[in-house]
Amino acid sequence: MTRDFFDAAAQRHSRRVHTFASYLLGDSSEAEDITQEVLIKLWNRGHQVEPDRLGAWLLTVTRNACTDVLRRRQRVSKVIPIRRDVEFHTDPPSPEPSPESRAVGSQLGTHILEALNRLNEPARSVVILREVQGLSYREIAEILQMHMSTLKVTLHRARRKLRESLKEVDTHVANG
Amino acid sequence: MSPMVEDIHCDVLLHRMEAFIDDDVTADESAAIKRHLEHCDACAKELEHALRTLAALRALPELDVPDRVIENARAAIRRQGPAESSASRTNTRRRWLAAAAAIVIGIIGTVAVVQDRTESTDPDALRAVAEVRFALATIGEISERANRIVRARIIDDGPIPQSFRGLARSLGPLASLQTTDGPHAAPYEPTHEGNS
Repeated sequence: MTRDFFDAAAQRHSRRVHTFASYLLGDSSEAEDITQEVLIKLWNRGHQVEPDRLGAWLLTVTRNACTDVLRRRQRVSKVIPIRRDVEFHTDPPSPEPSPESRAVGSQLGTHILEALNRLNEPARSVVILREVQGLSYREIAEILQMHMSTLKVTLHRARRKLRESLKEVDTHVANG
Repeated sequence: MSPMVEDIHCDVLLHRMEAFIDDDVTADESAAIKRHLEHCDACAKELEHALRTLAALRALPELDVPDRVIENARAAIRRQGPAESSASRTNTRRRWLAAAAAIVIGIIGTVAVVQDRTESTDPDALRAVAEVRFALATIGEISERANRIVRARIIDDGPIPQSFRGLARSLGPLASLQTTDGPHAAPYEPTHEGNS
């Protein structure tokens, strides 16, 4: 891998990697460590991956690294509480929601993060990749090595669970 | 909530709501759901809630990567230096494998020889067998990756005679070896230090 190729790939994919890790871990500091680790793997092993699969491969590597972190957390969760401190940088949201839904979204944003953190894997990854990052079903199936039908069922169940988690909060928001 | 309105039950609709939102239902099912929603306020409110939840989810922003993350990655890559290039790693691995092969062959060969003598219950031979078995067991304590390489490259595919493999199996189940190293053009030296 040449340094120019690395710089271009890092420029193109690092934001997506960092976003995925941040929401998956719910911790911006750990997400930075993961992003750095993934970039080093990009340099060491990126040449073995077909260029058009590089983005999916990086997200697979990211997810695997995050899964290790989540497993370690589970082992120590009795003594160290899970942190949820994702920082919101002021960037435009990915899809283009209406101003009304964006306003509702901002009110529910914090609660959405908490509800996301309560989802198990792979549901959390599926929701983040599909709804937050806007990836296609095909891309997600490749990243998570899931069948399309399982993927859709997982996504719908996860959204239903989020819907249930946020019902009380949303009622307050909707009632003003 | 009415239990049954226009051919579809509320429970069924709630179960299929996400698929309906994604337009991942048949035309007939979609029509039945729409008919139900026209007459069932509870399900209509549930749909509104589902759409608000989804809008909030989709409004979560992409997150910027702090410059220091990419700079730290570049610095770590620079620190790998030429020693981490493919050629260097290959040479290091070959030297290590040669040394490991010598040790393993020596240990297993010694076991084979002294085992023949143990049939005569020679106490020196018995002690030697015990020591060699201890050494073999110790190999299991080396790093997992090194362990896999020794087993796969030297014992499985290497120069260990067939008759000694029974002893080699005492090392435990054999793991498949997967190397991830590959060719590198050069150590990372960014042209623009501050470029992210």
